Amino acid sequence: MRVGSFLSLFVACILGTACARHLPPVASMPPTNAPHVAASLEVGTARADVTMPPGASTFGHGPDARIAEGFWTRTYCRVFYFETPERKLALVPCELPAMGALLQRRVAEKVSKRLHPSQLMITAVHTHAGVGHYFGASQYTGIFSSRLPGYDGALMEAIATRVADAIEEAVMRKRPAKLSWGFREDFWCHTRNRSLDAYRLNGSNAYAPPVPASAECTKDHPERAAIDPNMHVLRIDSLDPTLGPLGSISFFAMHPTVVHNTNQLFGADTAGVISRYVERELRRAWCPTDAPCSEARVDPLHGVVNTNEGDISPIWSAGHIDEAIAVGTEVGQFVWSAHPSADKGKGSVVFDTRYVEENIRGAKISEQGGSFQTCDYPEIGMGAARGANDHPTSVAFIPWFSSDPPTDFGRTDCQAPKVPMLGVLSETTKPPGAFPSDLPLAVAQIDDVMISFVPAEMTVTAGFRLNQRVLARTAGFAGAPTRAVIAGLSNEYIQYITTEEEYPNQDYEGASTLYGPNSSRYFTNRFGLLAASMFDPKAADELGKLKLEFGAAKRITVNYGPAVHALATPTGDRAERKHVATCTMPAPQMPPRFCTYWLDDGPGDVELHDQPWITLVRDDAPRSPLRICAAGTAEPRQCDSWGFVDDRGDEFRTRIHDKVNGAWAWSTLFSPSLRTWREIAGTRVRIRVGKRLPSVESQAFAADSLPQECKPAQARLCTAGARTEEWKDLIPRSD
Amino acid sequence: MTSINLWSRLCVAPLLLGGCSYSLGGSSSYLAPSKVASVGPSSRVMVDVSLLDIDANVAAGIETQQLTRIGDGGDSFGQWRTNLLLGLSHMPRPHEFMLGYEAFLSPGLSRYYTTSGIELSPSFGGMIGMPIRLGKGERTWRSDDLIAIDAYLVPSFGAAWVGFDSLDASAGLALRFHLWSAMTP
Repeated sequence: MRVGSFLSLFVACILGTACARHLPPVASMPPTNAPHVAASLEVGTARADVTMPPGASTFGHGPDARIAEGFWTRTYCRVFYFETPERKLALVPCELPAMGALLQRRVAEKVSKRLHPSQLMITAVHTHAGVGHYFGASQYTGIFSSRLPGYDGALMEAIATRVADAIEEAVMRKRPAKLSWGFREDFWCHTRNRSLDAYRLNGSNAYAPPVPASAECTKDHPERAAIDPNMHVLRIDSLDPTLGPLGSISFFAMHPTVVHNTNQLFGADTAGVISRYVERELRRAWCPTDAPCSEARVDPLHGVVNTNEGDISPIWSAGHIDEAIAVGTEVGQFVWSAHPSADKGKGSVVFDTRYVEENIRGAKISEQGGSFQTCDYPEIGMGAARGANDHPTSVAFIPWFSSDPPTDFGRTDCQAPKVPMLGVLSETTKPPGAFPSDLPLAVAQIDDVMISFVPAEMTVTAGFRLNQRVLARTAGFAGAPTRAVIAGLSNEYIQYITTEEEYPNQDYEGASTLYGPNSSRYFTNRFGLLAASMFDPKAADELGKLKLEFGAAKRITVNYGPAVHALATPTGDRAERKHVATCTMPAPQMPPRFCTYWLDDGPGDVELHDQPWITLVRDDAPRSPLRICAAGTAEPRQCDSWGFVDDRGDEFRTRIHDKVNGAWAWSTLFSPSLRTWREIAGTRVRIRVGKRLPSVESQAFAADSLPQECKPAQARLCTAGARTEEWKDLIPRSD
Repeated sequence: MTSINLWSRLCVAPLLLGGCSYSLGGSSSYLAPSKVASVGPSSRVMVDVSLLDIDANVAAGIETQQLTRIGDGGDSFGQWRTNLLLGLSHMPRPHEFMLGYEAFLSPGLSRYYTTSGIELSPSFGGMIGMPIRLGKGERTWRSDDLIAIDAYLVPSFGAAWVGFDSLDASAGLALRFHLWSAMTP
C-alpha cells in the first residue's frame, strides 16, 4: 500500500468515517440443475406499506433532501413471488429512493426459511421523496446526504420487517398463474435525455432506437430523441380466471423525479402515480361492474422497475405535485396500453436465475483481446455537487462546484479526468463502507425475456450495450431470450454508470460514476457472462476463474455513518382528537380543493400505518367509503371495485404542524382529480381521519353545499404550513 | 484576495462540514497562589466539524480574554489570555433539547500576575461549557435550513496551569452566534 493511501485510510479512520463493519456471509445456494425449459408457475403478491411518519428525511437530492412533514402518497414495496417446481424468486419493486445490500440482507434474514438472499431482488423506483436513513454506506447517511443526515437502525428495521411480512404473505397467497409479456417500442414524447452532450460523445455507437422517433415531439427537441422508447410489461394473472389479475410489472427508462427538491412530503413521485393508475385499470378491467366482485379482495399490484434511465428524465417544467400526477397519469396510460390481454398468458414458462456477488474495487475485465479494470476506490466528482441539469442543487452557486469544466485532463490515474469533489476531503469517500462496493449481480429469465438486476442507474447507451451483450452471449442456445431488459437500482446502489465515451464529459452522471470509466464495460461483461452461464458452461467457467460463486452471499462491508433518531416512536400520549375546520379552496376551470385540519396524537402515535388513515366517506349512517365509478356511463355503472378515495391514492396531502393546546395539529389537502370530483359531485361526503373512536371527520359537504372558502392563513396551513403566530386564530383554545 | 473571498473560503469550508461560531462575553479569573481575581471581556472564534458518530462535533478555535484585576494592590491592567481550543462541542439545533455541552483542551499564552509581578508564559488547561440555545425550538421538519444562525448563552468553566507556577481558575458567560447547516450531521 502506498504511504499516501495508508495515511488517507488512517486519517479517515481516525475521523470516524472509515470504521467499517461487516455483514456475515450466508451459506451459498447454487442454482438448481433443473433444465432450462418451461415449467408451471405459481405466483403470490402482497404489498408492504413503508410510509414513515413525519420527522425523517427524504433521500435523493443530496444536501437538498428535506425533512418530511407528511406524505402525499404512501410508499409501497410490492412483492411478486414466483415459484416453479425447481426455482423461487421474489421480485420486490419498492417506492424507495435507492436500494442497499444492508436492507436486502436484513429482509432475507427475516425470511430465511423461505428465501435465500440470492432469491430476493429488491429494486427501488428512485423516488426522491422517499425516506432515507436505512443505508449501510456512510456517504448515503452522513454529511451532505440530506438535511437530517444519519443512519436510523429502527427505521431500517421497520422497512425490513414490513417487506419481510409482505413476502411471507405473498408466499402464503401463491396460486397457479400465467404470465404474458407486452411490448411497445414507441414510448416517445414523455421523456428526454438530460445529458445530451455526453450522449453525443458516443457518436455512432450511441443507442439508436429500433423505431424512429416521433417527429411530432422531437421537432426542435433532439434531447427527446436520445432516449430508450422501449416499454416492457410483464402481466401476471391467476390461472383460474375467476380469481382475476395478480398484477403487472413495467420496465422502462425514466428517472422518475418530477417533484422539486423543496418538497417536504413523502411520496412515490411519478412512479407512484403510474402504479396507482395501472392498478386501477387492472381492477376495472377484471371487474368492470359493481356487482360480481365487490365482495372479493381485489388488489392487483403494479410495480415500476427502472431500466437504463440514468440520463433520461420525464418531460416536466414546474416540479410540483400536480405536475407529477399529470406526468405519471400520462405515462400510466401508456403503460396500460402496453399490457397484453389476460388470455395471452402462459401457465408454463421458462424461469431461471443466476446470482453472484463481487467487490467492484479493481475488478478485472478481459474481453476483445484486452484487459481492463475498474478503479480500486470510489470517487465522486465535482460535477455531482451541482446536481443533474433538471434538478440543480442549492449549493451549485458555490464557485468550487459551479466552475466549468469539472474535468482535469492532466490527471492520469484511473478516475481521470474526474475532479474529486471537495479536493483532499474526497479521501474520506475511499475507505470500504463509505460507498458500497460489494455488489449483488443477478439475472432472471422469465419466459423469453432476460432481466439483468443492476445495482446502479445506467445511461441509455450503457444499458443498451449491456442488453446487447446479454442477447449476443445467449443467442443460438435452446430457450435463449429474445429480449433483454435492465432492472436498475437492484439490491444495492452505486449511483450512475456512463459509457467510456460519456465519462469524460463529467456531467452529473459521469461525476457520479463512482468506479471510473470502465464501469460500463464491467457490468456489460459480468451480465453477459451471467446470462450466458444459464446455457454455456464456458461462461460459468469464466465466472469461476473470476472467483465468482453462484448463489454465494458473501461478507458485505458496511459503514452506518452517524446515528440519528429519525423514526418517530410511540410515546403513549393520547390527545383529545378533534376536527377543527374544513374549508374550500376554489379555482376556476378545475375541481375545488378542500383543507381539513384537526387535533390528534403525535407523529409516532397516530394510526398512520393502519391504512387508510384518511378516507372520503359518504354522509350516511355507516359512513361507508366512497367508491369511484365512471360517472355518466350506462347501468351497470363502471365501478372500480376496490378504488376508494383515501390516502392510499394520490389525492390527499397530509401534514403535521405543531403541538397546539396539548395536541398535535394535522392538516390534509384533499385535491380531487376531475374523475373523483365528478363522482362525488352528486354525493354528500365527509373527510374522515382514522378509525379509532371518537372519529374525527369534517362536516358533510357536496358540490352544491361546499364548506366556506378558506382564509389565506387556512390555505397556507394546508399548502405550506402555518406560521406559529397564526395558530391562535386557526385553532382557538378549547377553554 | 478580497475580504469577501477570504471570508467565503474561511467560513464556507467549515460550514460545509459543520459550522462556525463567534462568541462575545465576559470572563473572570482567579489565580493561585497569588490570589489575584480579575474580570474582563472575552471573544472566541471557532469552527466545528461533524466527524464522529456522536452528537458532538470536533471543534477548534481561538479564545482571547482581556482581564482587569479587581480588589487591592498592583497594576489593574495588562493581563490577557490567548488560548487555542481543541475539543468537542454540541450546540443543540432548534429541534433538539436546548442544553448542549462542550469540552476543550486549551493550550495558550497568558500574561498574568505572579507574586513577583506580571509575566508572560505558556499555559495549558481545559475548559467545559454548556451552550444553552436561545430562542424558540422548532420541530424537526422546520429545522432543515441550508444555512441558519442560532444564538446561545454559554456558561463555561476552566482551569489551567500557567507558567508552571500558577493555577488559573476561570468562569465565563458568553453570547454565541453559530452558523450551521442542516446538511451536516
